[in-house]
Amino acid sequence: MRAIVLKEFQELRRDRRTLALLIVMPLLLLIIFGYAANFTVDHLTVAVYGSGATTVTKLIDDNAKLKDHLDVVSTDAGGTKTDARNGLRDDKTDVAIVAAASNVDVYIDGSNLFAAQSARTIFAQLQQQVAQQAGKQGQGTASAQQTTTITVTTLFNPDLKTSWVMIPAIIGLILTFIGTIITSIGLVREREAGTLEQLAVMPLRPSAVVLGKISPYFLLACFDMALITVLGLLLFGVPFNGDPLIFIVGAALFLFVVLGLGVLISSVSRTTGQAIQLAFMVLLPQILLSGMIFPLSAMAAGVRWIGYCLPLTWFTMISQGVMIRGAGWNSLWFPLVILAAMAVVIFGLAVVRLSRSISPVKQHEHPETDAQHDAVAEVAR
Amino acid sequence: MTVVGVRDLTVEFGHVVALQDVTLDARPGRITAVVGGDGAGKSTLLRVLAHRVRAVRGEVLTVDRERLGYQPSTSGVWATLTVDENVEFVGRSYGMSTRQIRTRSAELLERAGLAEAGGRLGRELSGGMRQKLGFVLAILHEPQVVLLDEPSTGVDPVSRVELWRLISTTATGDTVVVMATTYLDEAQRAASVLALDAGRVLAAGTPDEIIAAVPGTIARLDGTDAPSAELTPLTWRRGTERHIWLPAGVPTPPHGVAAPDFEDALVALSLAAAPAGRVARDRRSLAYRDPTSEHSEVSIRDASGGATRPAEAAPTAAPTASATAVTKRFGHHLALDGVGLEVRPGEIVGLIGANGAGKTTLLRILLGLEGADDGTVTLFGRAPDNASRRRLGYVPQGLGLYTTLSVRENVAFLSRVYGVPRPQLPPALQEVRSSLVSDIGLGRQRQLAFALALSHSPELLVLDEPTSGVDPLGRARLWDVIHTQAEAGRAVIVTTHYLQEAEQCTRLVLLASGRLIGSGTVSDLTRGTSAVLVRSEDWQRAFDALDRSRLPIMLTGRDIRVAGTSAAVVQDALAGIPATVTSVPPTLEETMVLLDRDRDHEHREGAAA
Repeated sequence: MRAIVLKEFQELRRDRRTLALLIVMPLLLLIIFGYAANFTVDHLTVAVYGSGATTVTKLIDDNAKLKDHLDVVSTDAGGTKTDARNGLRDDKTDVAIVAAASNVDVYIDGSNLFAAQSARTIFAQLQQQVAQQAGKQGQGTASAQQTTTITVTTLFNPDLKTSWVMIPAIIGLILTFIGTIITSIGLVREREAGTLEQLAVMPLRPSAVVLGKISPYFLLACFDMALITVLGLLLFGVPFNGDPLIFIVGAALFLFVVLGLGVLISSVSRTTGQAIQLAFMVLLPQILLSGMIFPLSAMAAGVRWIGYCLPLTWFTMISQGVMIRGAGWNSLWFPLVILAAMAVVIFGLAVVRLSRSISPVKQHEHPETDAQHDAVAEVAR
Repeated sequence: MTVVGVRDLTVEFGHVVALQDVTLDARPGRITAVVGGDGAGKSTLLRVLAHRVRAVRGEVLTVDRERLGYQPSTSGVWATLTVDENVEFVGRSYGMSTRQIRTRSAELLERAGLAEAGGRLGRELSGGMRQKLGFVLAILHEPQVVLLDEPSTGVDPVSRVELWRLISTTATGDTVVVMATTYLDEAQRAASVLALDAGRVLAAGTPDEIIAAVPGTIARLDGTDAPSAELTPLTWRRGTERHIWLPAGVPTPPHGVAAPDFEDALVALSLAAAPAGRVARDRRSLAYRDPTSEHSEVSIRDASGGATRPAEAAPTAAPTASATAVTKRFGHHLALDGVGLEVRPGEIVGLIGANGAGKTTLLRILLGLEGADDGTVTLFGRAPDNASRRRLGYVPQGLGLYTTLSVRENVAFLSRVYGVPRPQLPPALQEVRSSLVSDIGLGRQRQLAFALALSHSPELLVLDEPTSGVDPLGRARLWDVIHTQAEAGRAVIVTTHYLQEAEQCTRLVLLASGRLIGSGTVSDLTRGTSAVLVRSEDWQRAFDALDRSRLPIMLTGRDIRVAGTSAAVVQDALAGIPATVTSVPPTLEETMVLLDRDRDHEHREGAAA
């Protein structure tokens, strides 16, 4: 037994991949779950509208307990209820408050599940306090001041259903899965079987090979995406409030990114096993850090920036925005641009690498070989 | 005139020189064979001609991709497509019309014997069928140049003969055929040969020219002609004989000059190019020792460190290992069908058959690594158990080394496991004892695997394809080690797909698709079969005529061999084409083809009944 233990350690020492897995994985998991895995959103961004806006802002800023949780980012005395709704739809803040003379309307963005839950708790406590105070005042000074009523409304996802928030994100996850894992396996299998070499010597243009290999997966992914979206809508009653065109554009851009990732993975893998290992390394952080499970706003800044580097983060923003909040171009242009940039860089790189690996090499030109080439052409005729 | 070729070609991958100053001249109407072991640069050379690898220096002359057919060493068949789909896909990729594809594939698949396999998936084909399909795919668009990368490696003899017939038929036309191979007999059949060794040209020309180009002399030795220590490395064994290459100026031993064949020539050329050869050339001395002295026998250094016992081999000794009527199924696949084998101390039993014939399965059952469904197996007189493992040395096909460990660590591990002192390594391995096994090259890896298998002085040595992909000199050296072990009284079982290695074995067991098709010595096996040699000025017409008559034919250079038939039948088939027809002794390959056919025939009749 000792011989085997010794041999195993010697082997492990040389196996960089496994070593990386042994050391990097625990560290990564520790950091992710320490800094990122947090369902509780402590800080909510708030926009205040209406004639009493300044008063409410002052009230929040003066109240130490409220100020801990609520961060007023804009105060607009001229704003209306419509402005408040639009602000939430465009994902400017988590909460919008419209303060009129006597009643305060609080709107919570239900598409941001955990932020919405925190907001509900905070404002429910506030409602209670206000009611108690009103009671005391009523007994003491006999209607000297008007009572303030606080109405809390959760928009977009009034029942705070998890499925409504998850399904738009899961569409992205499924596309990632098909794009990276299935595509890379499809390519590596051909490399393993030696038939990629066969394709490379055929008189096919590299672009034809690349497109021919990738298009089937693109179509399959499109089909899957449509299927999941429709099933999600039918089975879970997830709303589709926005413009389907934005969704389609976002999904297409996202698909190019993940297909590009798949092709890149296949170009650095020699076996199917390696490709799957790498694809999972790409997939896992996307599940954990894209905001689909743990809210981005609850993550530590460093980890959140990793999240911003992942394509799924941006696709989730688009799909949740379009489907649940009905957000429009004016608020989703930024994630779309980011995805487009990622698509150009990653997909472009992947296509260049793949086509370079199957293009015929150019031998050095020799004057006399040209003459011989002519002779060959002669013989061929 | 050269149509396809390279001149002074050098190819490097990083710091590794894959080809150095290689010149190849391939012409239409003949097969050009590129022969060499694994890592000799054969594939690289073909890939240069296929526009896949860039030359560092030198000229490359080839045709564009439309007029090129290429078969990679993995056969180039899509495993998850059917035969017809494979053909259709490749045809379309070359821009052929549906009608063209249909007529061309009908003809080619018929010739390849695949006409009825159209609906089978690539992965369901046997190794031989897959290689034949790969060849059909490579020539589908009637290319001007066909590049074949080891199309016949590991293929069963029947398929190999058929494949060779397909290839030679193609080469009788205006097509340039360049094929890489590790089989010397195959290279010898080609009209032109380029022998590569570690990226350099060892020899080039027709097989006869190569034999004639050997510098110095090749001589035959027997026990009484023991050469001096410095000349011992220049000897190699051919069955019962021992041959030696002598640099020019060294006196020839009493037994005189041998008639060297292609294999002797390549071994001698390798020796001449090796440092040992250069040393011997400088010394120009040959001392024949007194045969009665204790060093009289030519002995190659034993890889185990010389702990050998005198031969105790007696024909009556109890078998070291035996298998009787062993049957093994994997799912629906019948891997072994009532196969038997026996090996005694001092014997070398050759287990010969194609990839997939069941050789490895039989070995694994014999070693107790796998259970048999039916039949009995004994190892050292009883059923294989844990204790018997200590008494056997096994070198699996993949060598079974830990490639991420150093040579020293591998040795240490094995010696700890078997509880024996660390073996003395041969000098070539001593030099690299601190290197990782993955960095020491295939040849040394094989040496190490042998040294480790012998480290605990096993009574039975089991070697699975030890010589696959090894160059002629390396193979000769491995056989030296194997013979030394047998002479020391060990029982040896060797599997191989090289039929010409049969001469090195005491007895043979021939397997074909899980069935035993024959056993005994080479002369036992070839007895009762016949072969005919046809030599004709008009060899192409003769070949076509015999091909049409469906006789088992084999093109050897410009000669045609026909197996299992009489001169009269061949004369009939030639139908007046002028040719000399002579009866010749059959080769083992021809015998195996005939045995396999008979067996196949019986099998089918049995199944029908």
